Amino acid sequence: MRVRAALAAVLLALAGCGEFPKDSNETLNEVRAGRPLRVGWSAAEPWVREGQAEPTGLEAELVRQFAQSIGAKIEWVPAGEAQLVEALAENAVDLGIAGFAVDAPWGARIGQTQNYLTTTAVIGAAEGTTLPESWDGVPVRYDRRRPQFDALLRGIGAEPVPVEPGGDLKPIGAAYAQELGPHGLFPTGETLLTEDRVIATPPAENALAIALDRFLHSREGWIAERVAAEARR
Amino acid sequence: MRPIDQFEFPEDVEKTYRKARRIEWITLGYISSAAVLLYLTMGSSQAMRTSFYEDVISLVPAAAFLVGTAVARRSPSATYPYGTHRATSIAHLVAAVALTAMGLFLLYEAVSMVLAGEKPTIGGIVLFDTVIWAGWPMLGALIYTGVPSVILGRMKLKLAPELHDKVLHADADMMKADWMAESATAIGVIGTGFGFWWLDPLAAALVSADILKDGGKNLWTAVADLIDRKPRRSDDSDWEHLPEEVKNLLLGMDWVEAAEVRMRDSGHIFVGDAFVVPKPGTEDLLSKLAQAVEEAKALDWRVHELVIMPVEKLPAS
Repeated sequence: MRVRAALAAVLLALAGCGEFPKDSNETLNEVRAGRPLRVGWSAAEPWVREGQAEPTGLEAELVRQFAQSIGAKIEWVPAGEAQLVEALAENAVDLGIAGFAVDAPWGARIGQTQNYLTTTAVIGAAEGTTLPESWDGVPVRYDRRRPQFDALLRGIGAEPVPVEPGGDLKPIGAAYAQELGPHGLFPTGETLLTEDRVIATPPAENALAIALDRFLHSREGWIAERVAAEARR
Repeated sequence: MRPIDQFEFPEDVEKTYRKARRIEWITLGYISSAAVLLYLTMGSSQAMRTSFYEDVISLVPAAAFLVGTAVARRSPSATYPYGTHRATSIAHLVAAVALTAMGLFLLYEAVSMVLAGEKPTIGGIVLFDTVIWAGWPMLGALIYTGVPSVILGRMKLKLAPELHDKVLHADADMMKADWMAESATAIGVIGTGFGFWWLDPLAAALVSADILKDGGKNLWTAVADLIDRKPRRSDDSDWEHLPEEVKNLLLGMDWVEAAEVRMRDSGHIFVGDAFVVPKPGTEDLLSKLAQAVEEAKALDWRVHELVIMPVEKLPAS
């Protein structure tokens, strides 16, 4: 009975208040009130890229647009991924972009948005290429800025061949599915990895997380276009 | 070797048994679906994770009842002269160990989550192309699992004493109290939404402690039954009075001078031995003994096997 009454009281309180859910550390309110949004970043091809003064790439662009939508200035904080996780856990930065995937090993040390994009790493082949019956020992090219592809390719028995950034992936190459077309490759049906991409937040900052979720959901179409366009550069 | 008599529930108890089996099958199906829903909505909430595991582990007593009782009804044979009634006690023990282990594990998880500096974040979730707070589906899943649990629990609680089935009783008791665990989890989720993230591991710890309490209580009962403690009622509220009733029945016979009875709980049924001192000069002792056995068995269906031993004087107790 006591628990039921408490539950009712909580629900009433909830009905009577404006913003819900709330941050445990007031990040969203502070940023809206004029404090710069501290965005920690770490290069992760192709999602976050080194730029001249500021990072570029899909995630950096999304965060830039999000800050604009809530009227906040951004303070960019370059750091390694492990440092970013530590900083997020301690509320030393407000957002983290480093090509985070939903099943990262950080657990609930940090918060995260819903997946804003599901990406698959696949093997593509140029038109007219005869596909081997098995991947055993088959050389497959990949952009060497995506070192995780090396392990994935070896995992299916193929021989990973790193190429310099922007290099030709023909006749057989591994890339994110959206990038195949711009590289002149066709899908072979071989999927190496499926990942749900997220942006990291400090833990228990629920208002910030849902605000970013709402923003990301509204940009769904734009994200898909942008992913394909990125590869053409 | 003569095995004990073939066991069958009396007709009305048989009906109750069939009903209990049906409810347990419904429980298995229903709780599984609730567990899936909790799993899909849990996010990074430890309280939700604990509720999910609680649902999963609450399948064990239901399954233990279905398996244990089915095995217990097998006929006694030359190889199993006492029948297979103890299967119920084993099922009870297995369910109790599973509960205890799960309670300990979840309590450890809740504590280590806090120590590791993990905090739940409950942001948005996309449902039908709209972003809503991820806490709402969690609360929905909690209601889905909590409300019918109470109803199923109450239904089973009525059947357990009729069947004299401790597994069924333990299962019913836990389900009936399930709403408290789900409410604690709900408060953890809502509290997190208000920025009080620590309510989440706190709720998780409370729910784990509740599972642990159930586990410990059942473990004690199951172990005590297996080492043939004096029989208790299936709801553990009091000692069974059947052994005394049998003793009084024997003492009430005109040829009996003194009597002593000991009984053990073999699952659904009681098996026991009685020692009687016949009055001097009692004639036709053998048929009187046989008559006494029949009368004792007629007292209650649970008095399944009674061996009456005539003695010169009662063994020292």
